[in-house]
Amino acid sequence: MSITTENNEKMITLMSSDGEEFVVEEAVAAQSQTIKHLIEDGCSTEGSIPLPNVTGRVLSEVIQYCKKHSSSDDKEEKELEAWDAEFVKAADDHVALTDLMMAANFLDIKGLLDLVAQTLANMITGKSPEEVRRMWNIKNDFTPEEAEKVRKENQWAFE
Amino acid sequence: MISNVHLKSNWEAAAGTEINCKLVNRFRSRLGTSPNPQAGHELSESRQWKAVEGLKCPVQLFISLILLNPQGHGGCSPAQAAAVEYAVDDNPFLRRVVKRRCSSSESTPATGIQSSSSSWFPPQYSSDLSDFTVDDYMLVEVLCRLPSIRSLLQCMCVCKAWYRIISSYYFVRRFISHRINNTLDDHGATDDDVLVNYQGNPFNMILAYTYTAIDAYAEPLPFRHHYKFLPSNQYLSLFQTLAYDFSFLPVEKNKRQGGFEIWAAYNDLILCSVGPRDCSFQRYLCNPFTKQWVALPPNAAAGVRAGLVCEPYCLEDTRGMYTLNKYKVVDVDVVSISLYLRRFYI
Repeated sequence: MSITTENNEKMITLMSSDGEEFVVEEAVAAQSQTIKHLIEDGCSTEGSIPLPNVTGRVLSEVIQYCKKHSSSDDKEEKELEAWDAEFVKAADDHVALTDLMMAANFLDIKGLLDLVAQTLANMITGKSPEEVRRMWNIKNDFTPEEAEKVRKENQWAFE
Repeated sequence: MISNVHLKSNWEAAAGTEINCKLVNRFRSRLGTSPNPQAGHELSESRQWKAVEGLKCPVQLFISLILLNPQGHGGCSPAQAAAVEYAVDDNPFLRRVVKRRCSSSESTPATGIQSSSSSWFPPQYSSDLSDFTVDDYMLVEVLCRLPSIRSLLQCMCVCKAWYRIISSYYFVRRFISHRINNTLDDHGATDDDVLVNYQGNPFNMILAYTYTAIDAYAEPLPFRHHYKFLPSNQYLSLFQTLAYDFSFLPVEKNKRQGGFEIWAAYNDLILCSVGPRDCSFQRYLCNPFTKQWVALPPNAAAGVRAGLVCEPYCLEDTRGMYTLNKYKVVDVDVVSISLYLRRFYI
């Protein structure tokens, strides 16, 4: 389904995995390389584009990001950076960020992937292995001997 | 991106050559000879050259061979006058001798590998990605953005899955290429961080030294080195006070007396030997930043000298694939070299 707004901007309908529909301008949707290719292949003319890997909650965040980045030009770089920082802050915890990253990966939005991955990396930096495990809810499956061995292999990193 | 990497590689090779040329010229002036443009050509036809063909930095190898054989003493049989290579895997954090190719008839098993892997450990740095899940790739994206190798190595201890990912060959390449493609700022960076964070080749350094005529050895040595490491970047001033000692090498006390010698260096790898200058010295390939090392198999004969031949990180071949980065220690018998030198100087 493609409709046209007053200012002649083509609109695209995206459908999330839980059936929620989002109508966005083509320029916004085309921030995603995946959707851009789908549009180029003519998929958008046959109704909404289904995105089976992305939930409505995540998709609304992604669209928020794409809207901001398609409307800003290079002059506003500083402002955009500040906006990005607020955007990942709003995503709150690493679970939401991981969902966002999966969506960015599936939709192939490089800027968003960079942003979220870097945010997650910053969250890990400076944390001990135990803290990282707690944060990501990871079970330590090393036996004490194995853990000691891995630690010894890279002793200098712990000094 | 491709041309960018190549440019950097060329620059790197050029820089290395320049430094080495100074040493060669010094060596030549000591012998009272002048440079000969035929030299490279002649060497390229000799046996040992063919044994290491396919390596991509012949200029550096050529210079290393000359440099490492200033004395020309020897006495080995022609059967040993071939190059022996030790290939070392290319992981920037954990380097181990993985293979030894011996082109002479004589062969001895490689010894001195620092640690062996127990059964559950993954095959080191395999490029097989068939068991990587989507989640794993996501994790790669996150971990390759960590600011330093130090934090990366700490993450290896989190769980087996993380260990497997971080020690995979795919991850290592991803980590390095991310660094080459991105200029990272150095806010709050420690020394280690700066080493891997500066733009371009992440692990380069320059070996700086002074020398004196004082001879502390029974056998005359051309000069005595006092080593200092400087990374080849704009953070130079930061590192001038940075002293790297080699006390992390597991050397017996009595061998320490015999002297320490650096034979070759590339990126962050140092080929060095500890012990008296007869055949009983022990050679190591080590990384002074990570304090990791491998002991090389003992020399076949006293006269054998060695060079370190490396390919730059992140080479892309014509198909756009990343090629394997190889580090090789090349032993060359002195007899063939001294023959060559004689031809060269008459």
